[in-house]
Amino acid sequence: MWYPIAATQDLPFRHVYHAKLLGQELAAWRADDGFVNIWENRCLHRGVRLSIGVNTGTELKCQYHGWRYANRTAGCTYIPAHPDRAPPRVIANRIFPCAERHGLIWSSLEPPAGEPGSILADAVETLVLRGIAVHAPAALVTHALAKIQTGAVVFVQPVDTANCVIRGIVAPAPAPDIRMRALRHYNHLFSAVRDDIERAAGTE
Amino acid sequence: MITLYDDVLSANAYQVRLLLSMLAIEHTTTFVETTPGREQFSPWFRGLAPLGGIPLLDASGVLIHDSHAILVYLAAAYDSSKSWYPVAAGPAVLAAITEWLDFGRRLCATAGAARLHDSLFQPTDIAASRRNAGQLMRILDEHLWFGEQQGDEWICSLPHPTIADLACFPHIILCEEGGISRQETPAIRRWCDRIKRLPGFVVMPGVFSAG
Repeated sequence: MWYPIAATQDLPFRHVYHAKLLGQELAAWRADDGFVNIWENRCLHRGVRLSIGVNTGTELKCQYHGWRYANRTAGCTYIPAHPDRAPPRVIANRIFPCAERHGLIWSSLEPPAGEPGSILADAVETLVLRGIAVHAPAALVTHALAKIQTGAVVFVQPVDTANCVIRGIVAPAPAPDIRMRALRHYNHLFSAVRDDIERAAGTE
Repeated sequence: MITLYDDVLSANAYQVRLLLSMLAIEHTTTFVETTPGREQFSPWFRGLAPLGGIPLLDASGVLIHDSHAILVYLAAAYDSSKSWYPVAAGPAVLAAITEWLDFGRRLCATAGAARLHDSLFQPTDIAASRRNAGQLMRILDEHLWFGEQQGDEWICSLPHPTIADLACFPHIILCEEGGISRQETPAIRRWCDRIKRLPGFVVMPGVFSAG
């Protein structure tokens, strides 16, 4: 099943985004050719998080010992300790499915069926709201959101058993002159949902 | 002649090291071993800094005792672009900078305390430190996210960073040493990248370069 794990604007030039989906840590990065890579957040060498690594535009370089992994294939391209040897082809990071749609980055832990967020037409221009992290299970937050009329299309990203992120989009996007007001409005609305749930659970 | 009394592990001193480097200010460094030596409380250092705090700046005999005061001093004295402490930007900007300096102090008391607890065994209520740091980081993340939506890249709504960014950055970039993740605060992570790409950026133990 597809879940949104980030917004398009979370993957700016040469950045590595740190995500988590259903307990699985992910490193997401956009190469200079536009391709979005979503990998297990773990260097195959010493297990250091790749989300603290360097996005070179074509490769992701681990901070620890400089192992490099290629855009698209996640294959290891260079091991600094063995500068004269090509890394074996079996050294490749674990890749997760990725789709970019409606201003959100979608992924899945298993091969997903169908298209993500298919309740909207691709042609519709969306306004992506600020993701609100909540220290509560996704089911609890989904339940709370179902009780309020928001006017937004809302998804809840299950981060792990105790955490989730409220990700909303407004479609079609509001007029430019009320864009900031809309963003503030929804940020306030979803933050209030978060605060209520966390206060009740004592996890704020 | 500038002398910085410094401890390489001090997050507050790191604020000053960053500005010294970014403004390319010539200086010497005197090392004060706070852990485990507690040298900041030794008679010789207390003679210079009665509160026993690192960092301390000696600017040709003028002693400045607090990291934020040092940032103000260095920016006012050495920044020919007048951007790091932009007096000409007006009273609202100066007030905002002062607010964020205070915010940085709160980060120090929470995220900073958690780091010193985990890495240097200093006593603190670790659960409260982490929880309060998390609340502050939510506020900063929200502030930076809405700034980005209006084209701002820095804490204050100016086309360049200020000492407010340098006052907050060390406690944020070292927070994982105190068991506080930045995974929930993506706008903070992007802001950290931008700071790391500033000319003259320097690292310290626990901080990586942007590559």
